[in-house]
Amino acid sequence: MREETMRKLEVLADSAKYDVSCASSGVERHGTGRIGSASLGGICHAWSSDGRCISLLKVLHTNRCIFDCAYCVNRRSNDIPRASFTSEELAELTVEFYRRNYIEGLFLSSAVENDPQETMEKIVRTLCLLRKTYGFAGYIHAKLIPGADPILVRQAGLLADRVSINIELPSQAGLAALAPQKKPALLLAPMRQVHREISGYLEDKSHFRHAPAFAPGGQSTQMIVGAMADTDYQLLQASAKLYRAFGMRRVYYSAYIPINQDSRLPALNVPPPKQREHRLYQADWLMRFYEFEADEILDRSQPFFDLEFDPKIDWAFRHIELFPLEVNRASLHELLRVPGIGPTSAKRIVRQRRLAPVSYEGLSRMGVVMKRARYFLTCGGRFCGDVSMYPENIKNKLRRQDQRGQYQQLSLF
Amino acid sequence: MFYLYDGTFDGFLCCVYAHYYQERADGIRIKGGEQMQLFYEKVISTDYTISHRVFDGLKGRLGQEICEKIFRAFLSDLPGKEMMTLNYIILCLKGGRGMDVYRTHPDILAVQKASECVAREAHRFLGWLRFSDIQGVLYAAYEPEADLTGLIMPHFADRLRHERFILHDRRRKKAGVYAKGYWEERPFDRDLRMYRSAGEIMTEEAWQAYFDHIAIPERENRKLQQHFMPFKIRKNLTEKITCP
Repeated sequence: MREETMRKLEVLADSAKYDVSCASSGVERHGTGRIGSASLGGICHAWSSDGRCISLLKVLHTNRCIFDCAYCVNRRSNDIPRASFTSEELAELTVEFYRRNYIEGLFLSSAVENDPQETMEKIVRTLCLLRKTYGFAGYIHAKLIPGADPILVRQAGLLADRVSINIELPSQAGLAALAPQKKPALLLAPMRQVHREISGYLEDKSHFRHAPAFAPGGQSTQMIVGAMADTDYQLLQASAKLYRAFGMRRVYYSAYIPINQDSRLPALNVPPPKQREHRLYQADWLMRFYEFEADEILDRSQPFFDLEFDPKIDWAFRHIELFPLEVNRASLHELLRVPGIGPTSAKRIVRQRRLAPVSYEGLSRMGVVMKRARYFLTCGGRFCGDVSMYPENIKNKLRRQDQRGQYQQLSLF
Repeated sequence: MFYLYDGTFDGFLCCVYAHYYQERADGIRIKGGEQMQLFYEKVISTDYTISHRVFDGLKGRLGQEICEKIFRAFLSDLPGKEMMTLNYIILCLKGGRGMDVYRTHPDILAVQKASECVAREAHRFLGWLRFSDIQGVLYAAYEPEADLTGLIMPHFADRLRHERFILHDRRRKKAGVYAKGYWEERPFDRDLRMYRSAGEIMTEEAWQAYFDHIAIPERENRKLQQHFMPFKIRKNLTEKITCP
């Protein structure tokens, strides 16, 4: 490995790091190609000092950009070191890292150097080199460039496991203000095409065993939280729409980190809204795994998340009339709504109920978080939270629990 | 009766056989251990025809999933894992394969927890292992709590099918060795990392540079990083994590 490649790697990793997605999940593949496999649940290899996992080698093909989007590090008007990989360099680097088990695959994105068409071609060329020449069967996540030809989008989908295009802002007005060169129509067209192609592939697969796979890991997208004055309600509605309309596998949220001095954006000293981001992810999980609808979590009268309590327990406080639930009689759907019970523990409860009733002591063995669940359950008719069923009382109890362990040793002198 | 066996899964299955066909087992442990002889003890020699017969019988009556659980629980390094696993087998053979959902039963919970723990560690090490290219042979060292080599070799044998590699368990002084489509476990106790070439060290430096640059300084969260990469595994990693 040459010095020059190493320098490029540093520059292009710096430029790619604000992209959130790093999942290597959704594809199970063995015994094809010359090197590599993919595992359904994905595998994380390392965790950087910000605590985010490193699963894929996340780099840009180039960070030389003609666009000038307000929120982006790589915008044309920023004075940062610029570099570009050649396809050969990038493919070799990926395979060398991969065989040492540093990474699970490649996440390839790019800035638009001259025009979208040419950039997309370069990405497809690198993927082709990896898949065909190196026989690489590891995970590949490719970014689609808005404005690229549908034929190139199709080729990328046939080579990659997951494709994505970042919507960044939930509203057209926001996009027009911060990224005037990105037209919403150009972002949505490839999403729609990918959705169509994936549906086509799934249909073909049910008839022909060797139908060519099109993005078997699905597509994903990402939204910035806190760059504009969007409410959590708007963000959540937007992501619900993305899940519904485009069959998204994931919508990622990224707390905006002020990196550019710009009058349209928060000032440089504003800390990233990490708690809001966290609440959005929790709400996202409620929609995907807990059978919640976006409208149930937030509505127009309450457009922001409670930063003190998570969205699920907040929902339970607003619907306190439904609780306490009897563990031994509630349906799976009802159990999933109890704070402290997740999909795994709910299934365990339902399975064990066939053999023996679930006791209070048994619940924590099932993986139920009793700290929250006890206020919303009865076990064989017995109520386990020692407090009357008013949201305020329960909130006070929970606050006191959280305070425990925060004592500090007093200084004597 | 106290049974002594050689520490292998096959040996354990022979003890299970002895429990059913000879005399009830009150304890099972590895022979040559430091414990004193107090009770009647019997050394069970490992017989592969018996162990295969027992395993096929378990598989036929309890199914693949439960057998995998038994195997994983046995690989853990818990003291008394043999009796724990035997009690689970006894319960499951009595109650059929539906017995496994009775999670609050202490014997079943113990095996399920142990199996989950081993599976979790095995999954983590699929990501944590770091190979070094030493004259064309990939070498990785690790120190797992449970005996994971047999569990994770198939993953790498599939992934790196045209390579040759050594997976060295430093704690147990043995290694999984793969070449040309076949792998086996054998005793091994050498550190090959010192034979790395200059080119190899360069690749490691590139990875280190990437590792440092991909972090977002504004979001620094060492506690979260430590949660996913605990100190005990860091000495076998290629990337060095600097503490501020």
